[in-house]
Amino acid sequence: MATRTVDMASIEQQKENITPMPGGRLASKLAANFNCASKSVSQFKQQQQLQREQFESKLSEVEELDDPLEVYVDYIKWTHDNFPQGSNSESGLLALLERCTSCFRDVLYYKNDPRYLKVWLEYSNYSDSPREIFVYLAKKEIGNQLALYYEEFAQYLESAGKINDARQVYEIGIELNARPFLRLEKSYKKFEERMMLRNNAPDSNTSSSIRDVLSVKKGSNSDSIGNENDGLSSSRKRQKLQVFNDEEYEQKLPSFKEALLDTLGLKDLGTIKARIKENVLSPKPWKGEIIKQKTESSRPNSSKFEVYKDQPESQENYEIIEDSDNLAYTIIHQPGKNTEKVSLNMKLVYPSPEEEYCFEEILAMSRRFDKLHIKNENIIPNENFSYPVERNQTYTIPLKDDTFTIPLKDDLQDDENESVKFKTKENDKSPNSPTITMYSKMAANEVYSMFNDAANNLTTDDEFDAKSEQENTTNYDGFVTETIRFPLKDNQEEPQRSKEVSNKDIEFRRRECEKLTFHRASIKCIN
Amino acid sequence: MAPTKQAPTRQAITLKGSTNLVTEFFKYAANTILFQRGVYPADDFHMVKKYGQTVLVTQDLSLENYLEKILKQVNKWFLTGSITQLVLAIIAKDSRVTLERWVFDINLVDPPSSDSSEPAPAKPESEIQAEIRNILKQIVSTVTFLPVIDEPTVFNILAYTSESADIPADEWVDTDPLAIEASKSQQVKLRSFSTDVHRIEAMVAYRYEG
Repeated sequence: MATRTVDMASIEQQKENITPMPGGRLASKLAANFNCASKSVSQFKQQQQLQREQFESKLSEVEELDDPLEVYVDYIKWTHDNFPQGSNSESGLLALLERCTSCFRDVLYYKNDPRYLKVWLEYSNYSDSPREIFVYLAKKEIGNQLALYYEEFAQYLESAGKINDARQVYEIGIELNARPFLRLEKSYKKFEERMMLRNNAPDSNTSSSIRDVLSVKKGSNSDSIGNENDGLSSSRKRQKLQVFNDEEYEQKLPSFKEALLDTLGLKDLGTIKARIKENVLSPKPWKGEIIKQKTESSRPNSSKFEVYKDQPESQENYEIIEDSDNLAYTIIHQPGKNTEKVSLNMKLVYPSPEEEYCFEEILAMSRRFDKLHIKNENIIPNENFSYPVERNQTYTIPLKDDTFTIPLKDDLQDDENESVKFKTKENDKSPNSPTITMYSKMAANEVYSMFNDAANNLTTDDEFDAKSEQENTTNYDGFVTETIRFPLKDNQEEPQRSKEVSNKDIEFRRRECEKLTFHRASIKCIN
Repeated sequence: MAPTKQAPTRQAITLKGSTNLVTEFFKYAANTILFQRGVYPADDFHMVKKYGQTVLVTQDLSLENYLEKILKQVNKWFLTGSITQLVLAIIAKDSRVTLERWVFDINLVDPPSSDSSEPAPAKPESEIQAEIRNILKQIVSTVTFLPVIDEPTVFNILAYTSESADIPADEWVDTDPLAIEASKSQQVKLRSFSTDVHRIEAMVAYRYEG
């Protein structure tokens, strides 16, 4: 059993070249054929030719066989297996079906042979008027004892929208006791159920025209296409030539029963080749004929549609360029679009295909504050929190050598002592490293508490009552992150002024902002 | 001692992650099969973006719950490592004949040998997703050779577990393997995909009557 397992990989490359068959296909045969063909095409073709000749020689002595149909059935099956692409000039499937059907049409003992009927049914799939074939079969009494015939005919009529005719077909089948009778009855019942549903459905037309996804299309091609195009034909581009449409004939078309009774009008079906005789150019002298020359067209051979190809993963379509000011920008190349220039370093935003960072994260990372940042993010600011509870939480603030600036509240400015510049390193110069900004209220609160405690201890006059503390902790709207250079004098009436920052600092912050908004990407990771 | 201590914790995390990934794959694979093979009418399904492509997922609540329930149990078995195979069998409703068996073999990936000090680098998720995508695509492309099912069908999910597996008695029963007779069965191996912990090999067996 294990030896029969076929690897899908050997079929997958050719999957578009396989016509689905109602009965399915032998995967082992498909794989074997594709393998042979991929090894040596000529050898494979030779082998096929040999097998074909064998069948042909068997067919030539068909008169001597007990079951001549069997040879045909085997031959057709062989064609299916060897030419999965279906009917084309190479496989000769259509010609073979034609030969088989015409060979036995008057042979009495095959008239109700399901194998023979199946050949006819397959043939009808290639015909542009399956209805005629079905009627022809009925007149020839081929398959009139078989439920399959009635089922297929009714299904075809149903898909063509001829519900009453389909019902009649079922009724005739049941009347004639076609075998297997039970199955026919069941199919009829299902048909009636479908009709009930269709009548109940609000828009019966649209629902009925939807074909099951990926199912094998049955019945006439021309019919369904014709129906779909009815509304669209006017919008389509003008037809090059008028196709004659015999509407009168369509209307005069007798119902199934009438057609059946009318045995006088029995005529040969003829071959499909004969039906499309208009498509074949008749031979004539070459004198005076102009042979079209193949001219090199000026425009390149552009394919009509793009063939889909699986994209290899993570294709980088941009390049990073650093300009004279040491600012990086990204050039994005997109096939079919204009090249774009973006003033940021994409490498930082997308360090790898799985990762993506926002600017703030990059900024934080570049300063090694990413841990702090993430921690603070998880804390939901609460307006009503109580101070002591807050205290229990600890924060790690990596101070290192960086200058640390504490935001201050307007309300606190009453007291001169409380506006203090907090620095880990006594350094009067404007800091080399940028100011740190705390984003969460809680973090800010915590720093306040540290700060205020220290201030509390320092101040000799103990005016720091609970009330003012309460104010400090809850009222945060005026979150100011400027560095307060020095306590301002005499500003009790004007708390606003305390916001003043030294020019130097403002300048620094301005530059910082610029960097952030426009050239964030130029930040280099310090790691 | 540090690396040996670290390894198991990492393994435990990836086992859980891998299990979730694999069970999720089963959900989408089962949905794809049920849709493609017409076990449920096409209007019961709606499109969902998954693995970078469109996947059709059922909207039928009872079916959804049923699958959910099964996958929950499968997930448990995964974590204990007691499941070896999962089979989705499509059965003709009337005749009870098995038409197709979609087999998913579940193998544990051999942990890297202890001699090598360097642990194998973790497989990127995008690669796993691409592998899954390829399997789902193959499931779709099997219509080229699978027989058309034009009778009502039902489906059944079989789980092959080890003897020791803890099986809830009221939900899972021992059953027939719903095998297809060897003379009529055709088997096609589909692609496989693997996470750092599991390797899933897909296969379809179908009844072919020439």
